[in-house]
Amino acid sequence: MNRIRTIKKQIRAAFPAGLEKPGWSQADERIVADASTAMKQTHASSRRASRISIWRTIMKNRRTRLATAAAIAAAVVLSSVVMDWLAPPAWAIGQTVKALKGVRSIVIRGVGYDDGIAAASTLWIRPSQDDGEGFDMRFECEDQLVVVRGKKAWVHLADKNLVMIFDDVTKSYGMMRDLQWWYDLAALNPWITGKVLAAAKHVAEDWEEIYGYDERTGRDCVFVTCAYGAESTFWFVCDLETKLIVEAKYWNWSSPDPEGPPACHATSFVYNEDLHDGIFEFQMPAGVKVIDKAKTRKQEQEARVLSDQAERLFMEGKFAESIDVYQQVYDGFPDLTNGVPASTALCMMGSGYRKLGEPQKAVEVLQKQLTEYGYLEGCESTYYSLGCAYVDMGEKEKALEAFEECLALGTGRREPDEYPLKHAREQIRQIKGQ
Amino acid sequence: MLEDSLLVRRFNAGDPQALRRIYEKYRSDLWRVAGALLSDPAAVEDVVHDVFVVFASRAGRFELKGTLKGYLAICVANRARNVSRQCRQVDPERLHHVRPEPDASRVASDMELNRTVRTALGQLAPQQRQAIVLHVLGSLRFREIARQTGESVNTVKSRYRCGIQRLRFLLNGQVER
Repeated sequence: MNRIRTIKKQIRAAFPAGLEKPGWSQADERIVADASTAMKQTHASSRRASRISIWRTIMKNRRTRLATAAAIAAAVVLSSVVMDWLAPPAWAIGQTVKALKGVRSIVIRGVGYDDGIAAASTLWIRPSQDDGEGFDMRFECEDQLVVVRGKKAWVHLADKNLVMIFDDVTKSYGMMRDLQWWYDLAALNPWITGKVLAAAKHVAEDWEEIYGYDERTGRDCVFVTCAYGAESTFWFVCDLETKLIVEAKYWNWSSPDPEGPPACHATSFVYNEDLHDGIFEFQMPAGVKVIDKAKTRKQEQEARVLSDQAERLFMEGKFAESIDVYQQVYDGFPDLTNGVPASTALCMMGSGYRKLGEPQKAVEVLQKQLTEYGYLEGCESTYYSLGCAYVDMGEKEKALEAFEECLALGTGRREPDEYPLKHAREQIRQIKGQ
Repeated sequence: MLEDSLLVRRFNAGDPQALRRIYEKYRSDLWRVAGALLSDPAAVEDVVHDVFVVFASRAGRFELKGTLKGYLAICVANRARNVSRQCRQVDPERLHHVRPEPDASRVASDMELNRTVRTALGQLAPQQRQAIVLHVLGSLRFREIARQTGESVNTVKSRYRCGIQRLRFLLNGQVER
């Protein structure tokens, strides 16, 4: 029987300090250099963030459509504050804030550009009517609909025939992360006070005001251009009488050149329109696939527990038991998170069957994986496993075909000397050499 | 500990020398922990790199709870586990390489014994392996591991104990005394 102390000693001997990195190397320099860069970037941005963190969040947002909606909404409220900073004495801060407080709802219509393709969009937003917290919002953009009602949100992606339901946007991730910031802000004040937004001008790297005449409205106005870094530029037109924005354009990372077409162009702003509750009610379309994130989280947890159990059994060499548990993962969660757990389960079952000396069954499950989850990345590994199973069965032609498919899929995705490309090439060499 | 507090304060103020000092101070431990949890040297480097870059990006808002070494070691261990899990998802064949050698009696030299220990460690459940690596190689106390992982001390101890028992079973007869 080994003593614990002896085992600990042997573990330390097996992984001596400095074994992997005996001295300061280029890798260390690279790590420190990259970390220093990250620190500088963070530090530079946090200086601004400390003044107005929400603004930075909006600016670095990269989810085009929601970001666009958020950015336009920001511009709307921002515009009123902009007025505070403009020189003409006609505006006083008190007037502007007063005007802001009077806003009950905003409807913004415009055009968003995705890879140069225009898509009409409309955003309705108002303070939450249900619980007095947060906001109600509806955003429509061709194939995408987002409805936020208090903390709950529905996202309908028509092109995927999919509806996602988020029970609490303040605790959700992914695309709802954007909304969290808005929710936090809205919880403070649905229309954001002038005090908060005043900082927007303060942190702008470039700011230009041109007074003139708006031909669209026939009224005096001010044209404001403000830039935040190289990738974010706002341009908007403010009516000098109402102190509200009447037109806006936004260039972001996807179209950073202010001389070129913007990422979005808000052409119409309507304030204080009476918005009936129906606008903020989500009607579930017939025949759509529904993902309820609250339920999904629970299922993900269950699938993870089963997968871990199966993996442990596999590692212990209990392949038959491992296969049984992986089968439960596949049966119970075939579509969960785009099929990743189920796909992995099939792949592992294939390996398990090979270990048990049953290559025919391995081939069956691996082919099943390719048929049902071939859209997932990583299929080159499955083809490699499939090739190995065919080798076990003595079917060299099929094995060769699978290994070549592995190479074809994996080339460009993985390093040539990485698993499974290196192994597939070796197998092909062996088969052809026989 | 005091030095760490000062380093963190300078780090939060944006001092690159503090960042470099933190890395120099703990690099050996971090590489060791990552090396014990991952078999691929390139992945080890990536994990240490990623953890440190993420850590650096928290400058200005990093709050030291517990020890800095414990925090970084846990980050490395968690990241290594994620990487390991991703590899397993797409590369199941790789798991075959960590199976024990069929003929243990051939293990004679120290080098081979070390290899056997590494292989046996690789066979443990990820959480057991992490507890052992952090405690034995990272020299972290159970209380520190528990604090950083948000688990109870008893849970961590239990994983460590089970892991050691499993190692004893796997290494039985191969580690003398």
